[in-house]
Amino acid sequence: MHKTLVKFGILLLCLLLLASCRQAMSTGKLEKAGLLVPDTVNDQVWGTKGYKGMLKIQSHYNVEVYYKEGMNSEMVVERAVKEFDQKGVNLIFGHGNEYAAYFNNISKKYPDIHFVSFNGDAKNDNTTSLNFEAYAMGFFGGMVAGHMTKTNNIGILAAFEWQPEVEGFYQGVSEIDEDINVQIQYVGNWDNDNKAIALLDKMIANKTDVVYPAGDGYNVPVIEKLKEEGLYAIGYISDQSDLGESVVLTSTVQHVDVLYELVAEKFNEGELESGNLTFDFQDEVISLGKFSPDVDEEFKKELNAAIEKYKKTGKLPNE
Amino acid sequence: MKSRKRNLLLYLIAVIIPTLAGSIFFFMDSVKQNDEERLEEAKWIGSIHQRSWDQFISETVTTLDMLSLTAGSADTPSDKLEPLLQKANQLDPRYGGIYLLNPSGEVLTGSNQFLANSDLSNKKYLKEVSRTKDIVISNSPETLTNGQTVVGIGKPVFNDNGDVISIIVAHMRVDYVQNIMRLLTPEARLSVLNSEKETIMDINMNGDSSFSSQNSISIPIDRLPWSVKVELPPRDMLAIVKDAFRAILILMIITHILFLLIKYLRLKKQNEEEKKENELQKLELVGTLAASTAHEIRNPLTGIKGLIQLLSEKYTNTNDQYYFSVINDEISRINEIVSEFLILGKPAAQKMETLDLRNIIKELEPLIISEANLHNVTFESAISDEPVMVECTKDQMKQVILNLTKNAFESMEGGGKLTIKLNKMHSKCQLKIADTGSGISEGEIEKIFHPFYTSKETGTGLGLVVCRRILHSFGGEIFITSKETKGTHVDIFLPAKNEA
Repeated sequence: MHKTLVKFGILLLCLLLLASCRQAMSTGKLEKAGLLVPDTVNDQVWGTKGYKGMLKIQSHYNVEVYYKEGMNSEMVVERAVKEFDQKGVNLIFGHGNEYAAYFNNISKKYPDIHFVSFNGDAKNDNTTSLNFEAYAMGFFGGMVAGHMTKTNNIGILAAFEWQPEVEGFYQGVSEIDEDINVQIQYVGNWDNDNKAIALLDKMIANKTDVVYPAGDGYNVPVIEKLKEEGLYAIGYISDQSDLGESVVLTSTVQHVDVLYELVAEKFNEGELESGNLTFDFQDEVISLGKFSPDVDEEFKKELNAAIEKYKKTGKLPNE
Repeated sequence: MKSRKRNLLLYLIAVIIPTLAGSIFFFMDSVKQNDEERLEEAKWIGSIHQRSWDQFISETVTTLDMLSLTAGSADTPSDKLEPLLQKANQLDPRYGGIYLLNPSGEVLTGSNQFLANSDLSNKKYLKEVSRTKDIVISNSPETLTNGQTVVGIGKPVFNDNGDVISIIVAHMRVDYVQNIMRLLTPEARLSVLNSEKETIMDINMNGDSSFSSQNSISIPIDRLPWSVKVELPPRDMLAIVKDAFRAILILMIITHILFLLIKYLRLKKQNEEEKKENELQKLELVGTLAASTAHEIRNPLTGIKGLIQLLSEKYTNTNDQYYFSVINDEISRINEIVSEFLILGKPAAQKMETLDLRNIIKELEPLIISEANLHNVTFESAISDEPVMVECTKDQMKQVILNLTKNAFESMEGGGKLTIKLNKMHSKCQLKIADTGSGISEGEIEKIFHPFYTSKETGTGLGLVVCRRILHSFGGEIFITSKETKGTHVDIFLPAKNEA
């Protein structure tokens, strides 16, 4: 009898284990997350991607997320951070490189919040900067532009000189044909579409037929203008093939939303490092977007092979 | 063969049927959970887009309100308003343009030149604006000459007297919003429907505007009679199967354990039964062996006895007579042993009768008393007053009682007390024979009923075996309890037979 009792006890234990298997996941460090964008989340490129990242965090971790638009000065940012802090947010994303500097100052007052910015220099324990190695993506985008240009005139409409994708793009074009003329203009601002369109008009007058609008707010208007003129564009940050298959040859895509999830995961497990973290093709956060049907298959194959080689060896085709 | 079939049946019942039933249950449960998750996800996707539309419309309405107040208050000429309209347009990239119209629908000025000098008077929603003097949004999108798809929203501008002096129209770019929606939720299939359930925009639908009603949910937009209809994401069969599989695996393990448990218990029972049967068979074998041996011995014995009888009649010398008597005694003893052997071999084939135990004991009393005196033992008897009827054979019953009293006497070397009690209980009779002798140690008490086990120098070791045999054949039982140096109690229970 005693033995049978023991056996039934073990059986009961197994059944209990089975029931408990369905329990909810354990909680981590992440309580609430916040997003600051300099202009708007509706720009279809950088801002929208940041918003998408927040949505993913909300869905995955079941936490509340907040966002604020128009965060374009340190004062405004500081007020927003204060509000987030009151709401109980402990992970704040500053969606742009201007935030790195702001956060270096503000983060000292909020030791319990972790601040994340992009493409900057994070100096404190509770700040992190996510830096995209944009040189390579610019390079491959440049190769596509170089291959498809008929007038041998290509334009880059960047926001700032320090953008590594600009230099990369230039080198990529040279890799295809050194004789192609590359015109580089700086808008001086991520979102000023009026200025960008004005510069674009000048480029078009100079016979450019492929343009790389490396900015946020002016990106879509520029591509739409190129569509009207029947010219080509290289998409930026998002896969912009939806704007027109015959316009967008390919896009240099930065999977910011994936990065957001990655960062949130690390933070949730208490493993988010402070300082500057770099990401590139190998981390699967940068890739080339959908190709236009105008790009021939053979070139596509060559390009993809070159990208694979870069992923494995870190060497671009010109090295 | 039969045991194989039995095994299979048991396996079927203990393992296969619960596992199948459990599998179906867990599978259904997993599907249900997956369905709930899909519903949640569709709701979430729907709510993201619903919220963004609501916000957009709210902001647009507020902007239009402000613009109309500015335009109406100072009766500002249209070209002064142009920079204001441009600035308002800049507020949000989703605007296609903001325009000022005169009350009959002609475009006076705007934030861009797309609609310069065009006449929008035939637009349904603008007619509504003029009629209702309120803010109206168009129910269907229109495609402009520059390829943009927009939905118009118009607000009348009043002067201080309440007359409509102009209309402000904002174009909300449906194609732009569609792209954003596609970016945010690239795998979802959804449509935004107007109040007549016509599609204003959709993503991933490929022009197919139907969804099955069970597979989609509709979320209404607050500010407008529009709704966002989202198709539930497809069933993730892999996740469902994996989930159910885990549970089924555990169930299988448990049922197998159960099955093995049942088998083990049955095996144990089987074992015990076999052991008992073995014991019985052993005893039977011993009995048969003993009986046949006994017979073999009896024959020569009879011969020897007879001739000794003749010799004793011939040689009448006292010494010789003494020798003959010893020989006779020994022959009798051999006979006794042999008879006991025979009883072992031959279970009760004798006739049973219903007798009163009291009488049997009464008949034996003189014998017992004389033996008691010989051994310096006092004898006491407590017999019940009512008749104690049992079904038995007289001689065998006597044999049993005498055997037990003999054992009792032999244990009381220096004297003691022998008690015989007989009483009738409800369905049984109890016969108790107690002595105050040397007792039996705990270690030996288990062995006393074993054949050939004896503590006496001149014992056969078969007495108690035979007693038990006999009593079992009467349907009774015998129990012996003892304490060393204190004494031994023998309890016999026999089924009571009521007087016919």
